[in-house]
Amino acid sequence: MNPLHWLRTHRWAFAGIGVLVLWVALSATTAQFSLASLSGVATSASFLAVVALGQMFAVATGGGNVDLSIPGVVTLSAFATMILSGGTDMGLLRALPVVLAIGVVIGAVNAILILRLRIPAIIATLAVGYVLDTASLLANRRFTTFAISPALRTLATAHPAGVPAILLLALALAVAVAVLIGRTSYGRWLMATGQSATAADLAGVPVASVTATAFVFSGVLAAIDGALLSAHTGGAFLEMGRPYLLQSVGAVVVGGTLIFGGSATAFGTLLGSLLLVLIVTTMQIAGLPGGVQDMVQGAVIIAVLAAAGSGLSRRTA
Amino acid sequence: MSGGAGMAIAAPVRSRRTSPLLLLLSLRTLIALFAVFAFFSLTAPNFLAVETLVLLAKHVSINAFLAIGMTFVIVTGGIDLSVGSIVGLSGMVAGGLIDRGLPLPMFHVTLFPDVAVVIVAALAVGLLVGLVNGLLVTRLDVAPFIATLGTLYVARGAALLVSGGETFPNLVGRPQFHNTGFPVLGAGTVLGVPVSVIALIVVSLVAAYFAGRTPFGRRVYAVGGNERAALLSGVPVDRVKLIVYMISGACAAFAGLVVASELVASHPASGETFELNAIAATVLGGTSLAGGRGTIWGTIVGAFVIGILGDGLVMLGVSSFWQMVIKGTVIIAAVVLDQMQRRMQRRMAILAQTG
Repeated sequence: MNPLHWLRTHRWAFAGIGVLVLWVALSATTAQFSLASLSGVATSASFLAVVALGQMFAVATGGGNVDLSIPGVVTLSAFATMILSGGTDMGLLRALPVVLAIGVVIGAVNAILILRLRIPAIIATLAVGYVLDTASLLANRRFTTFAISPALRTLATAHPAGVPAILLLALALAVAVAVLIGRTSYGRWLMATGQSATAADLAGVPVASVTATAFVFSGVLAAIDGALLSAHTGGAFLEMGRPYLLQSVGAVVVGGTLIFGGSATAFGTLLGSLLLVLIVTTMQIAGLPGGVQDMVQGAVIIAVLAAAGSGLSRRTA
Repeated sequence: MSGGAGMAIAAPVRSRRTSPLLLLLSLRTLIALFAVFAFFSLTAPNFLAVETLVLLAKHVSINAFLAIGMTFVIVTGGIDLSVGSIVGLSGMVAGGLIDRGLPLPMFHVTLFPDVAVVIVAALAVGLLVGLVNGLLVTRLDVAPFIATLGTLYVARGAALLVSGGETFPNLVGRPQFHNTGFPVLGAGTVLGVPVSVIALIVVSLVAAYFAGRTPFGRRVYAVGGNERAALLSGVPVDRVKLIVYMISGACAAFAGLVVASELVASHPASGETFELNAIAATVLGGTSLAGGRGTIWGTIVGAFVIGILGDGLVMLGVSSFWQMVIKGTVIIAAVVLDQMQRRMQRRMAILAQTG
């Protein structure tokens, strides 16, 4: 089999190679990159992977769709978790439905703006994100406690047999998403919608509900991530979701999902998340300032897309 | 709604029969402007005071600079999300040059350039980021929203690097270095009119001239109206796109200079989320996000609507959350009305042909 052809159909391999190269380089050059830091990398990558898997649904719907409200959902859900749970497991039971509702409602609002009012996804979700940020600003004023529900803390920080629980969660989620995409009719509808909404519609695919569901998935996963993140970082703070704006899109495309939709890989998104986190870790170990880290992340994502744009046929809506 | 591709459909229809509803729709931005102006004149105390209006015009000018550049980009069918970061970067470049100068270690000297040179340098940085955006979109075929989302981070990172995250305070310059005068841009007045407002008038006139009366302007509309048709009729599509992103970069850099000059300080986080207000003003002014239609004057009116709405709501003491919700609703309404107008124009064009 032609190796080039194989690479083109298994685009996640690029992210895999990148992960391997950085891993070997870090292990060889620094004593600091031990098993302990590996667990740290895995944890950060898992938090990123949860939102990135949601972003992947939004991107897969095609037409340049993307969910830029993810950072806003993460932050607001973290605040909701902290404020409503009050640091008890009973409180967590109160908070969870609200957190899930935030995800569902925001996803639905995005879907209505995009499908009913035909506002480009990028503008609609960006605007929704700003509204959410302002809501978090208001929540921040009511913020009284830094106590975290014990159950949530266990889920976000425990290491059964040395493996971070959150990693197991992210892996399980990725498997579930992979099955959903690859083995169900919803997955096939999603890919058909992403490749050509018009053709999918003519073929009887419920394009609008498929797209709406994708944005709801994205919202819910971001909301769950925000709740877990509040337990992991020990509180909620403004702009805590902000890094995920670029990173969620980045992990998806670096993992080999096509930015114009119609093809998605959960495994690739997992690898993409790992690669982005490894890049950030490398820069931190090298002692580069935060400004450089922003610049490199932006540049890596542009570079991957530029390579994909020239190497693969691009679909425009 | 005049200009470019839209004109060809609209003009013959209007000469035969004009539906009053269509007329109202096409004047919606002006109507919105009068509505918000009248509303806040009646409800917000002191809204009509000269000082309030001058301050309002200064606020509007910053967003209007961004929105003018954004209009060119959106008319070609693109988008520029990096403008907010360029605002921050341009301010930091100017602040650094005034506060710390340009160290030249090989000569063991530090250059403190004249304010005019500082301004040119900051504008050049904006042009450069715009050039990168344009090259990514045209040469490397990266989708505009991803390319400019990437440069949003790159430019913000660069802004942080200029000072290591610090603010450059008190940018008044030092007489012994002959680099005083930077605050004039943001705080100076000529015959009582703020310099930034005069700059806005000049920039809008120039931009409107280029968009409406030059071959370049026609090409911008042609690219956004139908890229393939434009390419086949000999329009240098890639070059037009490259230039519009550079215009947007330069406009954003100028806005960054005005912000830094007004505050007499530059902060690396300055300009965050400015892109949404710029897009809002553009869309509100009747520019279609699909490309091909839009005017500079519409955008200016849109910027005033957004600005009056923002300042007026603050004066009424409306909470920041509801300000965001109201602004978001206005943007959505603008897009919905635009689609309504397009549908009606299409229907009337068909009627005009058949009847």
